[in-house]
Amino acid sequence: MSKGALTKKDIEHLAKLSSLQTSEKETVDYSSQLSESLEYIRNLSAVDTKGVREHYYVSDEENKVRGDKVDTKRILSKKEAISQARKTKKGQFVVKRIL
Amino acid sequence: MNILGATLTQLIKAIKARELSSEELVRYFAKRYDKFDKELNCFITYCKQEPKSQSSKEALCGVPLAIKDNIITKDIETTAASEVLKDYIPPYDATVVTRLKDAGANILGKTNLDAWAHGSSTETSDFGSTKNPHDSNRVPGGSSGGSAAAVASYLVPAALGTETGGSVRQPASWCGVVGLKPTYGRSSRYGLIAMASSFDCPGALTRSVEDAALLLAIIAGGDPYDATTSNKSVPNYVKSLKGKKTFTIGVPDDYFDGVDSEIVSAVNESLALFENKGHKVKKIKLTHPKYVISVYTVIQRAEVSSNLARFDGIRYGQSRSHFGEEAKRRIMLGAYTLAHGYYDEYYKKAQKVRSVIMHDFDRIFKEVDMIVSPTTPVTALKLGEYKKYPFFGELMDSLNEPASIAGLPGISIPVGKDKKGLPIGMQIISRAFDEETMLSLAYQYEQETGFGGVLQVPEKFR
Repeated sequence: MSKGALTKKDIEHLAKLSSLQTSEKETVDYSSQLSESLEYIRNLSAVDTKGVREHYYVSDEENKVRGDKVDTKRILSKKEAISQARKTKKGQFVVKRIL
Repeated sequence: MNILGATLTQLIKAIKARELSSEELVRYFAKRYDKFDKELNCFITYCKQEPKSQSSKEALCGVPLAIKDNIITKDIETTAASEVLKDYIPPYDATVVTRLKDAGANILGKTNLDAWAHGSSTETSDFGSTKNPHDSNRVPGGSSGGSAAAVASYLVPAALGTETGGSVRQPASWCGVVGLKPTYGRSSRYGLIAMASSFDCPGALTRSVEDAALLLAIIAGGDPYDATTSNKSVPNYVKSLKGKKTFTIGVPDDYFDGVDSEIVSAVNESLALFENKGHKVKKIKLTHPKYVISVYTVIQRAEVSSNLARFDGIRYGQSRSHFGEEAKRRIMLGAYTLAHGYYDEYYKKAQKVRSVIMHDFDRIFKEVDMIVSPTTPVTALKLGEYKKYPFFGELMDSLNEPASIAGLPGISIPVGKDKKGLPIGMQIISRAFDEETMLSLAYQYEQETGFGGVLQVPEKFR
């Protein structure tokens, strides 16, 4: 991918990585819109972060673990679990063949 | 009793005194929905079932509430305002919904939002924009625009919204209601359709500060299903409103840069009022919002790109070809900044500046009890006007994003109207897990001013 501005080719690549479809017009539009966004966020380089550690989350909570026990309140029946799928077969989800 | 415009607290009191029943109330609001929602488009789904009668012993006594449509509700369609989730019927409730139901709420319906909560006007909703009750040629703000407009037009006495970076406070400001965003981790994200997980936070849109305190007390608290919630005890927010306290209020000059002059004067008048009442007002310096916008954009897009990866159309919902333009833009920008070779320059750098912003707040909160500023740089824009602003959402939310980035609580309250008759909002930010302080100041303001009548139901919807 190119550094700085995003070309049409970059957008096509990003769309593929993200499993998205984009029309010809969208590709052109996104390339200029996202380049504009990148241009803006580059102002971050003006902030001095020498010696600063990154923060991936804001809470000071420690990791929580729970016992390895079944929580019956959260169990869905098989029927409930597949009830929202658009395609099912013999009580199972249907996915596209990948091989 | 005259129901029109009554607060949640007043309605509960009336039910307890047997002047009203919750069934009557549900029917009252259903009538208003039939009459006014065609024009406003606040709701995506309205539950037309017979109201359940609720015990008047419960905290909410069966009062009707609305839920933003990115919070899942068992057996009630939940779409996040996206075609991808059209017809999706969740098999379980979000924790905040469970808590409201346990407290005796009747769920009236699901409110409109920007698709996936991506936006600041509800115009990216796949089911049409909501209109601002104060001027239906204008947007309500967003993303919790449906909730804000429904509360302002009194299609519901209060509603839940969600915030990632301003999505409760900004529409509250544009619709002239109270908008409360709790501390990150104070209210559970379990069952919230994730946007950016390190910011997302359910909150409340209400007609009084006391109502906001009441709802917060119900939805707050640790949840074993969301490991980022805190188990810190939940104070009695309603009780702690009362009692005269004086505070030191910090005012960041940079948060007034480029803000409309009528908004600046309304906020300054409120600050003068606070000084008159014995509070200390002090100028402070924080990281400039122009950098905050960049931090927010980078981190939020990155988290969006991974969160929306789960929508594959296999287990539920439709295929990814149904994503709208804004979601696509966000996913792709996130994928870019997380990509090998760019990660350090954008994502890691943004997380470092996030630390700078957080340290900034830590330092300031040693000197002041809370921070006050305008909620938004302008009042409600016209439908379609967002196209004039290349960075529309970020610009409109620029004053809300700092608190979101640091996980701090914030509240927006109405402080008047501009010459166009549009509500002006002022926000108060306090320390993490210190919602009581900002609620106390907001309550004092409400007691003094009655919000200048901004909460009166607009003429057209009476």
